[in-house]
Order: sequence, then C-alpha cells, then structure tokens
Amino acid sequence: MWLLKSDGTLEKDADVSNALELFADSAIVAVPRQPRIIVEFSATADGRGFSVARQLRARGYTGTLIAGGPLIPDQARHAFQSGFDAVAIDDDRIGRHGEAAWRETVQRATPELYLADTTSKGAEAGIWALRQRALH
Amino acid sequence: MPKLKPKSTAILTANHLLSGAIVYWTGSEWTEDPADALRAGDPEAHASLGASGEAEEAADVVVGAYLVAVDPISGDPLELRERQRIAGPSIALPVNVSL
Amino acid sequence: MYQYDGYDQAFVRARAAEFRDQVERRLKGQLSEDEFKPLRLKNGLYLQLHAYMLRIAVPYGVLSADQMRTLAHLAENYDRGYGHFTTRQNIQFNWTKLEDVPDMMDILADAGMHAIQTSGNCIRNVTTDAFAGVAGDEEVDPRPTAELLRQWSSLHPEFAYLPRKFKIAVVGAEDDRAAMKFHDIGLRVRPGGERPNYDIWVGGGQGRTPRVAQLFAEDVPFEEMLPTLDAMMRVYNLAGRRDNKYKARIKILVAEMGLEEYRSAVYADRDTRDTAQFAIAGAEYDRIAAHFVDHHPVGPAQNLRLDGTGAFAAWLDRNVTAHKLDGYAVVSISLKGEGEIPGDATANQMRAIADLADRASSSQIRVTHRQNLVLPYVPQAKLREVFERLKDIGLATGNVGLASDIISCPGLDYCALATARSIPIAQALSTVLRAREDRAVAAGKDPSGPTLNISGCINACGHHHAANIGILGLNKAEKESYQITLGGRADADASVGEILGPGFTAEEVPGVVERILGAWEELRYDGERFVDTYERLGKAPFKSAVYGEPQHVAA
Repeated sequence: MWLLKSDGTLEKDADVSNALELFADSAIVAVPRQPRIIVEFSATADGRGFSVARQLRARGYTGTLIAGGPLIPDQARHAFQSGFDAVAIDDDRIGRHGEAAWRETVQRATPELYLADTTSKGAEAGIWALRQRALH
Repeated sequence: MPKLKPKSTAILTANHLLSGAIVYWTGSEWTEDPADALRAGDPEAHASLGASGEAEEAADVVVGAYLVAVDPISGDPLELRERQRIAGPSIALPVNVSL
Repeated sequence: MYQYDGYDQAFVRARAAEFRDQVERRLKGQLSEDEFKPLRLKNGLYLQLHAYMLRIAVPYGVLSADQMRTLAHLAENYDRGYGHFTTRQNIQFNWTKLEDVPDMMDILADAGMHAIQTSGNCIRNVTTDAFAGVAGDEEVDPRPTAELLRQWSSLHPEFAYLPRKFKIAVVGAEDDRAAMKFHDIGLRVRPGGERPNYDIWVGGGQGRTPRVAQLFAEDVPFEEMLPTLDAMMRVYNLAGRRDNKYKARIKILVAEMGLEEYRSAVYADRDTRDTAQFAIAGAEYDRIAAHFVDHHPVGPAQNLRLDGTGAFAAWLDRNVTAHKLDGYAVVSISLKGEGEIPGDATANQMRAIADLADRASSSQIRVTHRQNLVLPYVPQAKLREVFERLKDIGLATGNVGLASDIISCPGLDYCALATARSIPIAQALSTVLRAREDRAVAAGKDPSGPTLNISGCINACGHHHAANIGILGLNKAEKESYQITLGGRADADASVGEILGPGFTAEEVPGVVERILGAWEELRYDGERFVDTYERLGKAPFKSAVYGEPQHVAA
C-alpha cells in the first residue's frame, strides 16, 4: 500500500493495518479514540467519505485520517480539503494512473478554494481570506 | 441498451473518443457509414462483436460501444432512438447567415 | 455586474489547465472512461446522441457584451455556428470535439467564464430572476447572493460527489421569475439588517417525481445562511439514496425522512461545526454587492409614453417591461420566433445582440430560464432603434410571456436520454399559436394564454410539469407519444400539472392544444387566466373537449 500525504509526499510500503476501518456508508455515532482511522470509500463516484472526514474533524477527531477505496488522483485534493491526512493507494492504481499523476495532480489541481474550511488539511488559504487580508 | 434476441441482426456502434463522431464497426475498423457495418445474426456473432467493442474501448479508440438491433434486409435500426441517432437531427439546423 | 479580480481569473485559468491535463491523461489511458466521465461532466462536457456537447455556465444568467462575443467566437470556430440557451440560464454547444475542449476552456477563462459544475452530481449553476436588479417589484437584488453561492460552491471539495445533481435558485421579489420552488434548494432573499435575510426552501424538483419545495426555515439572518446550507448539503450527501438514481435527489430524502427529521439532522450537524469560519462571507458579500450597484445615469431621462403601431406596438406590449429606474426599460428578446428552435441563436445573432447591448444596454445581457435573452438597461428613447435592429436579425417577435413563448428541451434530436423529439412539436405549435395570437391582437383582444412547455423525456428538462399546458414526449412501442398535463405553474403559487389522459401522436398535438385553448376561451370569465379557469373547473371540461367524453365522467 502507498500513502499520498497532504504535504505531497508519496510513501511506499506503508502499513495501514493498525488503523481503525470505518465505512463511508455508516453513520458516525461517537468519535473513535484510535489514533489512526481509514475511511473506506465504496466507489469513485460515492462522496460520502468526504463528509465523514469533515464530521469527524468537526467533532474533534485529531488523529490521522486516511482515505481508502477506489479514489483517483483527481480526488486527492477533495480528500485533503475535507480533512484527510492521506490517501491510501494500492499498487494497481499506482501502476494505472502513474506515480507521477498521484504525485503531481494535487499540485496541478486548481490550487485555491474560495472558502477554506478550518478542518482542511489541504494547501489552500481561501480566496475570501486572501482578499480580505489584502484589503485590510 | 436493448436485449438482443438470439436471431437478431445486430451491428456494433460507438463514439470516437477524440471527435465524438458516431462510428460503426466493419469487422476490422471503424467507419462513419452504417451501410459498411458488419452484421451479426446469431449469439456467437453477437458475442464476438461485443468483444470487439470492449477491446476497442480498452484501447481508448472509442467510448460507449454497444450493439444495435437492425432490420436484416434494410439494415435500419429497429428502435426509435437508434434510428434517430443514425439519421441525425430531424430539424433544419440554424444557419449562421451574415446580418 | 460582477467583474473578476485576479483571484477569480487565476481560479478559472487553473481549472482550465487542470481539465487539459485530465484530457491528456484520458488519451494516454491513465484515466478510464468510467473515471474520466465524472471529471468531464463537472466541466460541462457530455457525450450526447450524436456528439460531445459542451455546456458553458452563464452564472445566474448574467453576460457582458464581450462574453457574448466570446460565445459567438466559440460557436463559429468550434461548433456549427449556433448555440442553445437552456432553462438553467446556461448555453450549450452541440457539436464539439473532445480534442478542442481544452482550448475552448482557455478562451472562456480569458473572458472570465467557465463550464464549472454545469453537469455532474454536484452543485450546479446557481440561477435567479433574469430581471434581477432592474425589476420594479424587487425587494432585494438576488445577484450578490447568487455570486457568493457560485464562489462558495465552485470546486467545493466535499460536495462534488453527491448522490445526484443539486440545483439552487435565488429570488428577491414576490413574483417568482426563476421557478425557485422547483429547485433542490430555493432562497427567497428578504430585506434584513445590514445584510439580507433568507427564506430557505428545500426539496423541489421536476423529473419523474415532481415536487414543489417546502419551507425549511424563514427569515434566516445572513450570518446563518451559509452554515445552514453547508449542513443541509452534508446531511444530503451522507443520507441521500445512492441505490437508485431516480430516488437520489434531495426531494426524495426530505420526503422519506420527513421535513422535521431532516431539519433536526441539519441543525444537529450545524451545531458541531465551527460556524465562525463562515463570518468572512459577510465582508465578501459586501464586496460583491458593490459590483451590482447601478452606475447608470438616472437623469435626465424621463419616462416616455410608450406606444406605437403594428408589430412595434405588439413588441412594446409583450417584450418591454417597466424598469426600476425612470427613463429606462427592460427589453426581452424572444428566441421563440414562429417555426424557430426555442433557445437557439446563431453566432451572428449573438454578435449583433452584443453590439446592441453596447449601444443601448450598458453592455449587459441576461439569459432567462424561459430560454430568452434580456437587455436590462435600455433607455426608453432607444426602444425604436433596438426594435428595428432586432427586426433586422430576425429576433423581434413580440411574444414574450404568451403561449407561443414555448420552453423546449433539445429532445431526441440531440439528447442521449430523450424518449421522443421536442423541437418539431414546439415548431409546429409555435405556428398555430402565433396565428392565434395575431388574430387576437388584430381583433383588439388580449393575446395572453397559458404557459406551454415541452420535455422529450420524464427527466423534464423542458419543465413540462411546471407549465399550464405541459407536453411530455414518450416512447410507446418505438413510436413517439405525447402526454398532456394541465394546471402546472412555476410562479410563487407553484404546482405540478395533472395528466389529462392517453397520449397523442406528434401530428395530433397542435389540434389537441387548440381544443384545450378553445375550451378555455368558452369557459373563462372575462380576462381570467388559464390557471384560474383550470383551478375553478378542474380537468373534466378540458378532457371532454379533447377526448369528447361527457363532462360528468370522473377523471
């Protein structure tokens, strides 16, 4: 398993076996205490995992959040900006999309959002904040 | 897409990935002329056409490949949607005359 | 209107570059079609019945003259010389090529435009009243809210893979000119304190399960509006159905959960959030709102007596609306000429309208949800000149708001999902209806009639449910069949039309509509609107007029 981290680094031979596995389709009842959680997306088109991460962060989870399942490179920024620290990628997807695509897509994706959430782990500062800072 | 009957006559169609043009499979290549499409008339031939479609999709030449049931004599599609797709818009398209 | 700053400009340029990279990776086989499809859809690119179709965003229907020229350029150089304005205030080009689209995106970005989220299961183009900012009856200009929501929802990381598409409309007047209650979320902007308040409506929509939205919350202060929308979206993203695409819209979630339970879930989620982070939206709202303040010379223009003769009189009567400023008028340009394709305009027509907007409408143009265009700032003294030029370019039909002002989806002439053709029905009906309207005007009578909308499938892009007379094209045993609904309306008293009875062939439709109109004219009180006659008498007399059944037979 590979781990693409929100700082842009790609870690090979990562071990995520000790992470608590949550499925994106089950509601969060209580915030888990485990230091590492992997949220499994059930399909590329199923965006529930992004909201699961946001809810965990909003409710105070400060451990490591990993996005698992069939995400594609273009969704990595969605994961980080929703509160994930890393995306877990299997060998098959590294091979098919190319290591470079995984490394570079986050940088190549539109770098800013208008409103950066306080729970985001992405690199964006938020255009609204940048503008207001420039004005004052 | 429709389920073909075992005895249906079918052709393979798709859209060209780059241009989006509607294309038909001749057995060895894609053509824009449905008259040149290879016709398959039994389950084995249907499966073979279907496999060609999947292979061409996997090779990123075309997208959305599927089989269309056609009349065995005229070659016209049996379904309204497919007849319309082959024929193109039934309306006169706007003409960009100078004003 | 809103002008992009460096941040907005960099944003759309980066998005165009990102799409170019995605296309390259698709062509190299690094993205499969299944992976690429949601990415291209979020950039407005469909594979339709015949070709790739690109849908470009016209945020809340506002266009500058130069942006219209950019659309004309794209139509001529990357399509077949025309475009189609849609019921969501966008424009689509029907004959694009995948290989050209990255270049088209760059050209759009240069003009401060984009195709972001014009398709896909995400928050779509935010729509509003095409008369926003100029209508005499407006309480609050909805455009600053619409622009704020455009910015907030653009590339939103969390709400990009929703169960289904999500449509938001904003209105600021009692008269709803944006079909707000047929949207997933509808906002009615009301005067507040320093910034506006909002009535929030939820769960409206058309498609196979048409629903009028329900009132979620009333008079919500500006500061709570975005945190509430944020939580509304999150509850939908997590709990909306994903097992059946026909049950995946928020209207089904709200119906299945019940409004009360949905509301509790939303507030419970909102309570966990750091809502202070949304406070910055206030300053942004003010910054955006400043872009929409009128800088038009109010004096010395005076209100003229607007009259004329013949076609000019009819045009003044139907297509010219009172302006909130003295001396100005709002001009609607009908894209519904007799026998024409509703919503279509050629590149040369777009360019002529852009020139006209420069000369006589402060360089501004609007797109309406009824697929017409608007010149929002025409000095009354220039109305004759505007009319004459519109006549030259074939767009002076004086029928806005009449029955012949038909909404029609592209139908099976273009659309991959359609079950029947819509455009030829609209064309045939427009001929019959224009003749009827001309007869009424010649006889000194009011030519007004019902609204008439046509969809080529149950997805209802042609808004047939929301029309006084709705026409739905279906496929019955590989033949086109058209079902009639009556009594729908899209205004503040929104309601869904009722099915009249068995369907008709394409050839029968104009005659059927004539029989319905004939019955109405016999039954109506003097000056009574179609919807009021229908509400008073129900469908029986219309059924009888159409099918020849006795009136006492139950529906």
